Amino acid sequence: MLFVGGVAGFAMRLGSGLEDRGPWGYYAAVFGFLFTVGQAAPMVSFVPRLARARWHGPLTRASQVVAVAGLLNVLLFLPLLWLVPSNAERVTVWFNWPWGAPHFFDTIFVLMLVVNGFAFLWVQAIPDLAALRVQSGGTHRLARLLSGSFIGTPKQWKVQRIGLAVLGGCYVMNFIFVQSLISLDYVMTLVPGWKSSMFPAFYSINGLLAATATTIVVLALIRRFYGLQRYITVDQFWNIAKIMLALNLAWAYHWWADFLTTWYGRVPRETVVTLGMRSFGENTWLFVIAFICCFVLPLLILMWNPWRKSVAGPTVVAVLSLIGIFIQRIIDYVPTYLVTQDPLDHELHEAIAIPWPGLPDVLIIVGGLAGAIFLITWAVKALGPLSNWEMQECMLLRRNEKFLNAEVPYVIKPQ
Amino acid sequence: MHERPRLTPIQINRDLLRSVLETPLVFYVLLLLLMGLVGLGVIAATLMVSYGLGVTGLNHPVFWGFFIINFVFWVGISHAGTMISAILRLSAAEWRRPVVRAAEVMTVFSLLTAALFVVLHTGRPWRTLYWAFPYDFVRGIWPDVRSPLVWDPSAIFTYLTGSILFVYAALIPDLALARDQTTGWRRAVYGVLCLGWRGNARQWKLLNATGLLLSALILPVFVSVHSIVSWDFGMSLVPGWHVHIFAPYFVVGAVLSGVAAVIALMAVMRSLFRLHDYIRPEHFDMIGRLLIVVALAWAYFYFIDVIFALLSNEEAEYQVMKLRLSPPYLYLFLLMITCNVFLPVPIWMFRKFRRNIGIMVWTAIVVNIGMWLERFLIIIPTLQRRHPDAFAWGDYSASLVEITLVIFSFANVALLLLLFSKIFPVIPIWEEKEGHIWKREFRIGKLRLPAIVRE
Amino acid sequence: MKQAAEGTEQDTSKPVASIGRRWGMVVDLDRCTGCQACVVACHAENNIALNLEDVVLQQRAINWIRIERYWEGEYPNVKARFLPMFCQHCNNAPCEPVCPVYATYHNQEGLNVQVYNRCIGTRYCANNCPYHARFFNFWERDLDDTHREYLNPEVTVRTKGIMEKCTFCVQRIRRSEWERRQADEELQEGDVQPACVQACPTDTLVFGNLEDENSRVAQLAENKRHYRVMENLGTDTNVIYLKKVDPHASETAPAHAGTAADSGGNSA
Repeated sequence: MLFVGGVAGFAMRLGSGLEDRGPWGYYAAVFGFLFTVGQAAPMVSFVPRLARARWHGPLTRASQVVAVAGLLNVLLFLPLLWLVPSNAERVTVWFNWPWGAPHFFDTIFVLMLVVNGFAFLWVQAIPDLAALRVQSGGTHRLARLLSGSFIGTPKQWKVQRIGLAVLGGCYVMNFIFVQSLISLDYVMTLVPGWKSSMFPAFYSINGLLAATATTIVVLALIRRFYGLQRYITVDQFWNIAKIMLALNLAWAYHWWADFLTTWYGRVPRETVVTLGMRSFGENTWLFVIAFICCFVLPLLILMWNPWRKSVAGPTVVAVLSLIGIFIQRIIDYVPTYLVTQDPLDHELHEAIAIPWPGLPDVLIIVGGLAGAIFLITWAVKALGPLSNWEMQECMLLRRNEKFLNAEVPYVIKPQ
Repeated sequence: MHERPRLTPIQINRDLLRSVLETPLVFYVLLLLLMGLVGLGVIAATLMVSYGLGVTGLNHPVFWGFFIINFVFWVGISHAGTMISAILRLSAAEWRRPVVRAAEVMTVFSLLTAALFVVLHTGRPWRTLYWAFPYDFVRGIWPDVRSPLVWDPSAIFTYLTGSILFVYAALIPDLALARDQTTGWRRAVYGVLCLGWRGNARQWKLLNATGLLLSALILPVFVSVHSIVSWDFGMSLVPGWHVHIFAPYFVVGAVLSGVAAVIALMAVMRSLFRLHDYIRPEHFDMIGRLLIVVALAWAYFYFIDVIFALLSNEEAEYQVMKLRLSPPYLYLFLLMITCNVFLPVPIWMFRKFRRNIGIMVWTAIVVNIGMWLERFLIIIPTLQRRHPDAFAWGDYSASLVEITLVIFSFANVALLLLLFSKIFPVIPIWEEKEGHIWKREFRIGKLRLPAIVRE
Repeated sequence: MKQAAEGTEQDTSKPVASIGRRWGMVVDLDRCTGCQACVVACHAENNIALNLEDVVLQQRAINWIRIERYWEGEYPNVKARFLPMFCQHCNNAPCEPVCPVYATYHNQEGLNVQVYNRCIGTRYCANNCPYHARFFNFWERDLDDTHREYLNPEVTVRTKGIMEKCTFCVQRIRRSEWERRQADEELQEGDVQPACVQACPTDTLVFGNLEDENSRVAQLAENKRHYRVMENLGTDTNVIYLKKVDPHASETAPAHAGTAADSGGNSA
């Protein structure tokens, strides 16, 4: 229903035409947010696996399933292609390079990332789908279709392992690359004189933060609504909360490095944009909220081990961070799209304040989020909330043994 | 598994204290050689202080040269210690155990060397004490806290203090062991140094708490140190230095060079003190994996740095980057990027190479050459062409004094490490034993797999 | 005390509360012939080390003021353009906050002051100065007895290892101040002339108090030809240049001098 509302809002915006970029700011912010959140989450399943931590079993599905929101992202992305001017009218990373840049190539890259996300999800889910196929006696059509001829031979497992590793590695690099690119093409280079090399890196950090936050939220929801308290334990939350805290700190660090360099340098062309528009200036209150949500409160909450070692603590922080990131997206996109000055100018002369969203904007925001949540819920339903084989593997590699007088968990680390 | 031999505690004691208790000939040879090089450095420094900085190759536009490059380089190397010990300790990575102390000690010594270069590079080193230690407060003259050059010593001394505490805390049980194994005056010295360690439960508990607490506290310092070093450049208005990304970029670069240096150090220790049972190929394997990630992250940041300078419509920055990307600097640039990414990363991708210690040492050396060049390319060409329409352009070639002092810095760190290894055990004995106790093997089907307690 | 507090309240944009005096200079490029008289005068007045051949070859020459020469146009219509360049005494100086020991700071008269005794020679200020106006003493000066006779007793001879730069001949400012104070008078317009201004035969350089609206320098600064070098860096300099009047400007392509002159010139 809400999604339909969103479509209506979109239609209303469409009525006002695509020539004027200004009103589309909130729409772009929604895209930016969903793109960050939706595409980032699968990375969480890859990193702990790389570090051979043995607590990630229940995590993988929760994080990868978010990739299905990529479908929506592609749809959301398309109108932006008409909104953003071509290379010739601004300074971009593409220099004067081939035709079609940025629009054509960005579309390709976004599609690539989404496809990569789906492939990652699929390869990861193959053993489970195969199990589902067997369990349902071959009647489950989707499972039959997707699991192919997987019957669990050593060779198949090996191929699946390598596939996961390669796809995961590709995904992380792909994500950081595409995030950087989109942030440059659709935000930064639209503003004359805005040149902060921190920007793409900051976007990537935002992406990692969003990834962790989304995973925690999905995990908490799954745990609550599927009654999986026995499988998704506090242990998972505790461990991922540490990563969360590290990323919150990294977020603040990157912001601070950017801010300090600009503030100390006092070069007018930088201060107007970075300070005036993005931190303390026209939009101070929004920035302060984002800063509190992404850094201050998470730090204050996650600093304490009892709160870290709970379900509620990390979940609250995750929700806060997501709100913070959403506000960040509004700060980044909305005023940027309102800039009317020629992007080839040397510098922006005055900072632009963020207007309140109108009815279509609210509809778009709500609709976009609802659409993404709907897709994710559907995927969780279709694939199951947990990755069975990884759960089993993690359990296999964990033993409780006697050590002196205590019963302690051992973790087996295969070479 | 033959790769992880089971050793008795007595054997561990004997192996790991060997470097302290015995003095082979090669030790004296190395000692003499290094002391000779350090002596040369002292002569060069004396010359420089008495005649002025004219004896260096510095000149009007290029005011900073080899000394600052070397300073940044050694601060970078010093990041290995914390990276290895604090982060790996907090994330409970088992493979850190034999490496931690060497890495931490290298942190301390390279930081000292780096600090020395800051003092040396100033025009009046004897007066530089004014700002590192503001003793002149009677006259109300304070350092200017706005200057990144004041942040520098603050960060470095904080890091140094933290690192020394870190090393020392982890040394205490080993010193007690050395006390028990030696006689005479050495016993007395170790006895004083180990602060009355008896190894009771309360002491162990305190030690563990100290280790974790220090690890957590030193991490922000660790990040801040190289960020602040990067802000020496980032805070300026010099095009090519005034780059927003410098802080995280420098930190990643520091970790890359530091961790690579740890590889070389491990290999040297392994062959010099015959520690084949302790420093095993699997450790090189794990460091290699870590380095792949770090090197790629570094490449990402470097790419951003270059691309932003090129795409900017700021002429000055564009010109500086163009100079960096045209001959003769182009060759250095290509060499650097090959050394840092294109050569080592594909090598690290293969397990076979990661477990080959010779190859790992060579990649480590190559990476450090690359990282030194990276600092060179950031500092020198930028200063040569600071602003395109102004006013003094110049070039730079290092003088013999500077080259001697660079060699001195390497010899100095090596000498200090050598002396340290003579006085203290280089591998934390108690940590090694702890690792042995926590290890267990399990059977799954036909496989025997190593397992470890999860803290 | 109270006055100082009021001063800071009134004008927070300036680093130091002003005392109604802000020394500045106007450089009329239309008059400059590039004769280098200012350079010679500066060397004589300020005890600047002799730039002997070897020092110049080492790229370590010290010139507190120098004439930048740019070529404009294509052969055969080449024109030489001159730009006297010296410390711009920025109100928002890049060199000041980076000094760890306050060896360079902004005083109440708008001067960017270098304290030799305090300087330890990190050379950070020199790196950060976009005008290349700061110089480092790489060598100790080798002064024989004859040479000592030439030294200006009012100016310090700098030792090795410290920075130096144009001071707007602060010793002359102080002397005029002192002379006026002896007579219980305020400093008057035209009392102070730095050596370069005094030596300039074409009246290119005009020195005075920019805060005083009636002063010649303040009025010239309002001239519509005025600009500041590298204004886009936000340094807010106290030296104002007046563009050269070129009747044929539209016929020739803009060249190097044009880039230097434009305030936002880098995008050109």
